[in-house]
Amino acid sequence: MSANGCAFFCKKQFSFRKKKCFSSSYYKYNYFLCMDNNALYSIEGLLTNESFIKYCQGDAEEYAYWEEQFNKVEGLRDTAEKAKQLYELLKAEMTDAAAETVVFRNIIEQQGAETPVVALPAKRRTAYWAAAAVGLIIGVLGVGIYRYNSSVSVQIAQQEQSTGKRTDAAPGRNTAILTLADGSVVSLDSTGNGEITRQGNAAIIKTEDGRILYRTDGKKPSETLYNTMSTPRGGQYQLVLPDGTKVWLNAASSIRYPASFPSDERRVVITGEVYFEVTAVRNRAGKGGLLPFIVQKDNMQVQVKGTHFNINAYDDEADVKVTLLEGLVNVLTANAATTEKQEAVLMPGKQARCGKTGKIAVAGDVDLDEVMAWKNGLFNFSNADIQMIMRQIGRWYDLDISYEGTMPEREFSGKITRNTQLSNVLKILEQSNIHFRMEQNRIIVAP
Amino acid sequence: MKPNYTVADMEDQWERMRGGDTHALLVLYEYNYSDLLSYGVQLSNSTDTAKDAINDVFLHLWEQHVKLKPVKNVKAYLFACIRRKIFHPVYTDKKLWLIEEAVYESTETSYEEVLIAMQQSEETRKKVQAALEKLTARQKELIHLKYFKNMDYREIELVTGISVKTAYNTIYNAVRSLAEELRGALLIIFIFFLFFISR
Repeated sequence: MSANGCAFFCKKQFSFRKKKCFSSSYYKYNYFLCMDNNALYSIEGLLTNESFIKYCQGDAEEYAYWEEQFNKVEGLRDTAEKAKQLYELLKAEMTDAAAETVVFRNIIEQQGAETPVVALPAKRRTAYWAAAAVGLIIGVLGVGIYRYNSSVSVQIAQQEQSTGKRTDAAPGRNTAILTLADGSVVSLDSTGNGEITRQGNAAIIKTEDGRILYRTDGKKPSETLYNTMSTPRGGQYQLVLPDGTKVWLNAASSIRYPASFPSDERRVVITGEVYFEVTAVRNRAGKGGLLPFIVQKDNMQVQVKGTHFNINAYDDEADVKVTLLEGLVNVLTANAATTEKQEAVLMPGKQARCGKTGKIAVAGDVDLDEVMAWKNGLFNFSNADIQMIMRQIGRWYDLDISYEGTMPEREFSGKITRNTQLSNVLKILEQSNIHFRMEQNRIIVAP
Repeated sequence: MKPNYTVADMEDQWERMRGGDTHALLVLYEYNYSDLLSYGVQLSNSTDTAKDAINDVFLHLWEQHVKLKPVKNVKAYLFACIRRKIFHPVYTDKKLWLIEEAVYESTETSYEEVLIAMQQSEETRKKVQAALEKLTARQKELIHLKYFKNMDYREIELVTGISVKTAYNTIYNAVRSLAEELRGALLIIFIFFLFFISR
């Protein structure tokens, strides 16, 4: 180790310490860098030197320093050039193409949000909901498990056909109502495509496939304007929130959200059943991290950062069910009376069931296909009771349900496309000795 | 493991992309990404520049997908686009992008030259991969944290528990081994680099 090399290097460190006040460890590890010039000015010497790595990263101060060194030390520029090449080649080789592709996909989807006509290609547009329109009956619903063997079999539906009464109902369709902050209402199946209306600095745009996008001018909003998108019974809808988060609304559901999100958090309020694909957004206000996305339903909230999950929060269902497909979510509840709080962290594939009192139970054995069936255009039941099936049918075909007699305690399993006439669904259920008749907007279920 | 696409498969994806298929666009992006990045780095000596060039090229192709023409050798076309983006970043005549030959003209390079450049670039990439393969798992991990995650030695100590001194020595030895393996290749890139700069 030559004294010369050591003196040079330590001197440099000294000058840097004065300027930038490096931490003691920075000084420490450079202590054993005191080596002769041959080692220091080798590729490995340069690429272990914090100052040179900063130069490679494009640090302006380091650039000035190293340019000076290149002029002073013969051959150094050549070695440094090679070292930088090696550094860049290693960085390139360690770059994950799949991860970069995800980033790029987000870029083009973001672009799609700004210029829907150009960037939303025809094939993609249909993909979301058209899955519903593809098949006919995929599986057979009502391969029931008979707990109590009932043998009554009267074909009521056929009797009614001859009397000219209503015997069928069309499936739900893509429709929703957008209520703007000023109370004005836009029915989204009657409006044309393109910019429907403006709100503050956001243009509200309806795409060809009926999705709603928000295009903000990039300026800070003057005030927070809230919109509510709601689907009727017999309706479903997909929209894209101002931050790029994708939202699917099942029938008889709603979401309230601001036309542009504030910088500290993204908060929405829902009813019914909603599936979210939350876009990860960097938190500009705080130091790093991701901006929280909070879904609220009464005294329950789900806190996420960027993830895919489904919330079933229909008031006529016993529990609010939060099912996680990707990422990580926090489910928080508060008992309205006692204000006692509960919290659960969900991993993918798990479901949190939140009771009305705020009690959370986490289930691990969830059939994700069943939970997500509605979004994929299916009814999918496994071991479901008739009441649960009829609640879904009622919402989707916009019908009320009532029961006559004692319903047998049976469980049903099976799949059927949602894009089918009601009569087809009922016919299959009738295979398992459950009978239906229609009176106006009501289905009467009888054993 | 990434699928092995033939030139014909890529031509097929290109056709789908022209028809507006986002999936095909992403397939072309992901499949060619690593080779294009390595090539871009060899041309620009900057990973950031190369990454931006790739995104710009694909964004541009996507915006113009309706107007794009069929392309026989998609990879060579993409290589030519990347080179053009890096050396003529403000080229504004968009029409030149639309015809395969025009891309080669606009980069003042023949199709054959692009094929040779592609081959050279891939050989260099293979050498880098081979050199990396010779490192131990710990060396690779530390190289990754140091150069890819931009951690300083103190942060590495916090994350891995490997002392500053050990991390330093490990990376020093790893880089020496890489530099030794790639000495010839780095020289070639250097000449290659100057050659294109002088154009």
